[in-house]
Amino acid sequence: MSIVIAGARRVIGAPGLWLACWVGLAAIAWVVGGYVQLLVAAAVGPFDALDLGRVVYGIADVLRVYPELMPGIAMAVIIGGAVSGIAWTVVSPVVIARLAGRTGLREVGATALAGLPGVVVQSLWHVVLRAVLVAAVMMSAQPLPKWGIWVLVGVVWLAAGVALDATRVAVVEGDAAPWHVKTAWRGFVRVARRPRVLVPGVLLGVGQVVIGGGIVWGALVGVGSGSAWVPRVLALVSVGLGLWRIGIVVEDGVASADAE
Amino acid sequence: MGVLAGPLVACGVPELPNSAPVPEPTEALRPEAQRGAVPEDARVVDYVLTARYDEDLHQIDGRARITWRNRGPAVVQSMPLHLYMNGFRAPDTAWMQQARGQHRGQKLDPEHAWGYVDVARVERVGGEGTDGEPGRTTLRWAEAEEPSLMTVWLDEPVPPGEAVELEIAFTTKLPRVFARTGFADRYVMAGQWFPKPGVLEPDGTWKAHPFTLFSEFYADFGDYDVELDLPGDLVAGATGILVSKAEEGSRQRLRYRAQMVHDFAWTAGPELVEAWGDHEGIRIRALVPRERADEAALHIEAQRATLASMEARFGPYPWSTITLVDPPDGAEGAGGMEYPTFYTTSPARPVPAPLRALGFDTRLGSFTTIHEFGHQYFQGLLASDEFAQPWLDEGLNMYANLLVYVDWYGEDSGDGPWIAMLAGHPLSIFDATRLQQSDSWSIEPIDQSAGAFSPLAGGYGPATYAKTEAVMHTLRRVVGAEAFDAAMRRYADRFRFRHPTGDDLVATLTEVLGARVVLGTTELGQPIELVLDEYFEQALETTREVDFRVHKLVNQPVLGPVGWRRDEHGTLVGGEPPPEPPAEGWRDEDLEGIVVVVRRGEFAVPVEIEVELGDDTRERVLWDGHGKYRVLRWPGKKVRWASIDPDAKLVLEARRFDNVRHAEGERPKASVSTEIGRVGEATALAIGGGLGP
Repeated sequence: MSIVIAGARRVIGAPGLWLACWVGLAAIAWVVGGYVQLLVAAAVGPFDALDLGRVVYGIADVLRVYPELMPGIAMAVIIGGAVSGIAWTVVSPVVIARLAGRTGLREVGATALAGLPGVVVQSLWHVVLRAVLVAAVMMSAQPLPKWGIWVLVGVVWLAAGVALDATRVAVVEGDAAPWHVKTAWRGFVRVARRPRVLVPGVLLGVGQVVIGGGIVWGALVGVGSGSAWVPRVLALVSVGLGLWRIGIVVEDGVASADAE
Repeated sequence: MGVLAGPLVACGVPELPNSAPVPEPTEALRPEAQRGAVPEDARVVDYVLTARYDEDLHQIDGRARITWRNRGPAVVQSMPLHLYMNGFRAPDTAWMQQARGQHRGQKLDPEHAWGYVDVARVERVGGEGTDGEPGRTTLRWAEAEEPSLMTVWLDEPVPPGEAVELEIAFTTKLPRVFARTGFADRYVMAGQWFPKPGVLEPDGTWKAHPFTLFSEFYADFGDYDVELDLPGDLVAGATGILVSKAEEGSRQRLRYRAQMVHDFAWTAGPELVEAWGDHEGIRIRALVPRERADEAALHIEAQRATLASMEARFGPYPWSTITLVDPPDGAEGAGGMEYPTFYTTSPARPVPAPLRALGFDTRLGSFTTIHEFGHQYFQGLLASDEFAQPWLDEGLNMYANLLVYVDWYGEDSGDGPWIAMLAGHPLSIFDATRLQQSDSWSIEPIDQSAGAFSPLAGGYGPATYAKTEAVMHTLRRVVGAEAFDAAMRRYADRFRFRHPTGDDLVATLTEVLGARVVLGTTELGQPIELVLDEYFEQALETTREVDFRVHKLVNQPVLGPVGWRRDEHGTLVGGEPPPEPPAEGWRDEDLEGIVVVVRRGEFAVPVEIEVELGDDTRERVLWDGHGKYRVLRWPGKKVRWASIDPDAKLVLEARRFDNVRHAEGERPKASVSTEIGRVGEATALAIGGGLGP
């Protein structure tokens, strides 16, 4: 069976996990949105009406008169992103344990807790390695046109994400050294040697990015008329793609263990 | 539709169909039946110019024979001349001191920083000479302390109605272009490159100004006969029509003629591609860099639309040709400048198709072409003094530019045409004007000379361009487009080939619209008027801003017949207690809707207020805007919301979000905070989803 299909089955087999991850993400985003709404409402006071015939002007007018709103909004979104990133790191041992086939709160919890410190440390190592990798690619890709550099950096960034998954799986479900930078590096080596993991992982990452763009675009298009649930449902799909990516890496780990 | 001539062989350049060029017109002016009459007394100064361009030295060796007619009331004994290129001569010139080595984001190149015009000799031509040639008398001349001006002392005074012929030998050194004129590699843009007399006003005083950062130009109309000696492989364009072209070895001699213009500029470059178009017999010639050849059609389309709009609104374009130039990369400093029948524009890159498919688009790509052509009227034809009243050309031109968009695209945003589209949401061109209002918009009054604006304060651009445009469009919307357009047409017709002033404009508008425009009446039947003098005084002479706000909107119980009161016998009766609020809430007829509108800005202008009442009806009230506030009451009715200036007539009012207010308990259909919050939530979802799990 294809590793990609098998990875998907692992996700489909854990709908509660998928739903819980999505609820967590949606809750963080909802808090961000609510904070932004309060921020703007406090600034405009009773003059909150938006003329649906001129939404660009209506919003730009407020942001121009209250320029201090933009840093506040940006900071809320950035903090929301950071909280999401941290939350995914903390939750990832649970995700891996569950996708690896563990069931029951106690079993999943015990595995995840045991793996959490190592996952955190390895994630930090990956931040360093990813930065070095991206910088190296940017420097060596200078002869390419600008758009080519950006595409290459994007692919490398997503590939590094698959490598991070591989490292986390090795820590949680394998016997990889939890603290050593070599474990992080081996994640890169592992996915580099396994195109059947790397390629779908990167493609799923591309899908997440596209859906992310779609979420923002949909929200912009829907200003004044769209439903708040459209971006939320799209986020459910995005979370599913992310879980699928991890499922593929987990499946690869299981297949390797079986082979050994 | 413009098409390209000549094969485009460079790699990556789109191949476009070849076509024969639109033939060079034989006359510089259109036939009189099309262009209308040209007043004979408007022709004041004729030039015969010869120029040889040395591209190694970036230098023009020139000779100007200037025939100047004294149209003034008094004898003239000396003449001021502009030496504009001397503004680039050293860091201590008036221009350089203000510009500090940069102009519109382009920086001076230290290797080729300086430009100048060096006058070698000034002679008066006339009288008897030798060998049948006219006589020549060397004249005394001197640069002013500010080198962008010089004075020539005539050996014989010129009485009113007489003319004098001067011949000036000069050398012009071009800098690397960063401010309109200069060279960039082999490309050259030569503007303001020869000595030009000032303007003798009807009162006998000379107008000649030092060249400063914000000052543009002011000159008299006349005919030009110009011979350019250029490297043979350069493609050239210039003011007027090409009369002859002769190749001489590695060089070419081009002869141009222009009639009834007040300047002559030219450009040349090795990689310019030509494209042609036509509008009602006016030849359109586009010169674009080879790598942007496919944008020529966009420029020509914009040019056509602009001609159609401006001819309909401001009268016929009098000349037979218009040449537009998109300077090549590296010569961006030459872009965006107008000269008679010739202008430089900027790239017209369209938004990529995928972005357009997602609802992101802009019509700004054509703006420079529209704007620079607009200057053919303001001030190519209505030749106001750009130094004394820069708003008359820049501001009125901006006003006209918006009308070009209106005529070209129609009302496709609900409030005029859109200028930008963001995720499918249009931003109207008038709202874009409002958004341009910055802190610098109103720190200096509009009507002052270019030299009076402080480059450090940054008020020149906002006041002269965007605020003036808003002043004109506000007035147009308040008094009505039809009447206002008729008034502007009269101004344009009356001052063609003249030097109108701001007073001329206001007087013409007042003549057509009336000194007091009645906009409506008060409840007592008193007329509510817009007094034009007051409007222009506030708009042009002060820094006042238009800003209204719905200060208060409440619905409170009507005061009923309760408490003690005297009956017909003078006896106190009643004594009922005030009514308790009913459990189900007050009925609408028991309420009085009260709206208080406030004029926050100092600019007083009549404004409408619209309210929606509890019975779903809407009412409008006109306020003269003179008091600080106005209280509006609707006894027995509940007010749901109130909106000041509901038709958005006041383009001058930038801050409009506080013009609408809802009563307590009434929710707007959409709110700014909710929508921004939702975009914030979506962005957090996108980032969070992209980061994990």
